[in-house]
Amino acid sequence: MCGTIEERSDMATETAHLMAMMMAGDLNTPLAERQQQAESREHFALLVARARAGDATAFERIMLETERKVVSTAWRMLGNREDARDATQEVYLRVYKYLDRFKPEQDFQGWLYRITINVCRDAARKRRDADAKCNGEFASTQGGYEHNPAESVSPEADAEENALRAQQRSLMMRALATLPEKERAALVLRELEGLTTEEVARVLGSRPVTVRSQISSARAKLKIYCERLLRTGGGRPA
Amino acid sequence: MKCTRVEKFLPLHVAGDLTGRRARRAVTKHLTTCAACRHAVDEYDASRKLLRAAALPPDFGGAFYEEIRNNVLAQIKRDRTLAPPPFARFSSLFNVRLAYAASLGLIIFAAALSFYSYTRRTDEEATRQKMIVNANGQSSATPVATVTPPAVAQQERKDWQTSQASIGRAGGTTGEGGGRGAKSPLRKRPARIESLRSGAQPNLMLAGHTPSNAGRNPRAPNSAGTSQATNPRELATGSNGGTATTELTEISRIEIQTSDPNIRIIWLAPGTDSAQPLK
Repeated sequence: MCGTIEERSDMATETAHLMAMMMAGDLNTPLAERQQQAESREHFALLVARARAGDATAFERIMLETERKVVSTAWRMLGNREDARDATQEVYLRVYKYLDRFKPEQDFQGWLYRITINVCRDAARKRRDADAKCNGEFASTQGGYEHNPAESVSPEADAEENALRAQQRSLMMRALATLPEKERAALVLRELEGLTTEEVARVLGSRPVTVRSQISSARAKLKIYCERLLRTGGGRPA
Repeated sequence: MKCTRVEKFLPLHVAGDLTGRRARRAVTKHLTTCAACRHAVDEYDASRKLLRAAALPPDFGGAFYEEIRNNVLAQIKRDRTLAPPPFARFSSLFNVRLAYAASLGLIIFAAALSFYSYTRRTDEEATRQKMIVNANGQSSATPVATVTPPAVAQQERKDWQTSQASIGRAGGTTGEGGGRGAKSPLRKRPARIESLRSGAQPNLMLAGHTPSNAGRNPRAPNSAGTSQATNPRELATGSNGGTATTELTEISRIEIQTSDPNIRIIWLAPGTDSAQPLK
């Protein structure tokens, strides 16, 4: 072997790191991205340690750096602004409450995703029960999903085009709402949040095989929904 | 690979989630020749694109996020959990499993200790009951058992044989003992008074008796058939009132031969220091 002892030691460390990544299924991730993930992990571990010690500014910093992601996930799971706001608040209250349970070697983002998904599940269940009492039917078919008016609309765009897009969007969100909770969570995390199937499995506490099965089923259902949408003249595909 | 089989792999294949090199190769090869499956792939792509567009979160604005932060911090202050509880600082020192193991060990130890004390108490209670029964049965003394030393027992046997022989020669029975008193242990005893002095006393340790009181009731054997004790009740003073104690002491054996040669009184009295002769 060539190189000094330090170089060989670094190579051994790097090899061990790559082996660990391969075991975790992250071998396809570029090196820069892996390094960024490691830095992010260290950064949040430090913030959590300070927050645990009673530093309120550290906890506020955690909220500032993660709130957009939490809100977007909650909005995608629940479909409306008010529920997303309430769910986000509950997420951070739980994060503060269970700070002691977080281990430094854990991935904070994954831990946060797990809490978010669990809170959204609880909120959806409460809403479903409440709506069932009021209307006698499941709210998931209604969706509780609001129309998303906040798309950036270019002034030159055709009004009809915009209306069509808004309608398609509303229908797609409703389609998402019809999915079972587990399939919806798996699809949102994989398709919209960009996590790998292994990461999704870690967040949801299940196996990658199960996650792939759920994603496959969810995509097939969405495709059928889209076909009906196009057939009924809901709009032209984008 | 047939279309029916490929259709099942397409939802994963379109996003690169299909694991297994063989399956990926087979699907890719099939797609090069099958237009229907290629059309299905396009539909999957379109639905995914629609979904991503539809699920693009709106811009909620800075005030929205600030409201969330303020509400969370206010709730935390309200719950007075801004600073973690004091013990939380030390929570990292505690291993939950170790704590569970330690508490389980404590519970087992406490159970074993209580069981041991219970069985010991039960044994002592049983011993005490036995002594009380024996004391009641013998009415004036509190012996637990009588043991005759081998030399004395041998002497008694000889005396008995002698007395039996003399009774047989007399040809009759007197008193309630008589020849028919074979069942009565008293009939078999020689007509004499016998006491166990310190030299002849059995070296036994029994509940309720102290070694120092072994010679408490010195009575010389008297073949006259009467007790030398001025007061028979004095002989019972070795007893401590009929109550059993848990101390181990020697036992005094007093035998008093009554006027009836066939009747003999045997006392087994504990010899205690504090015992006083009855007056």
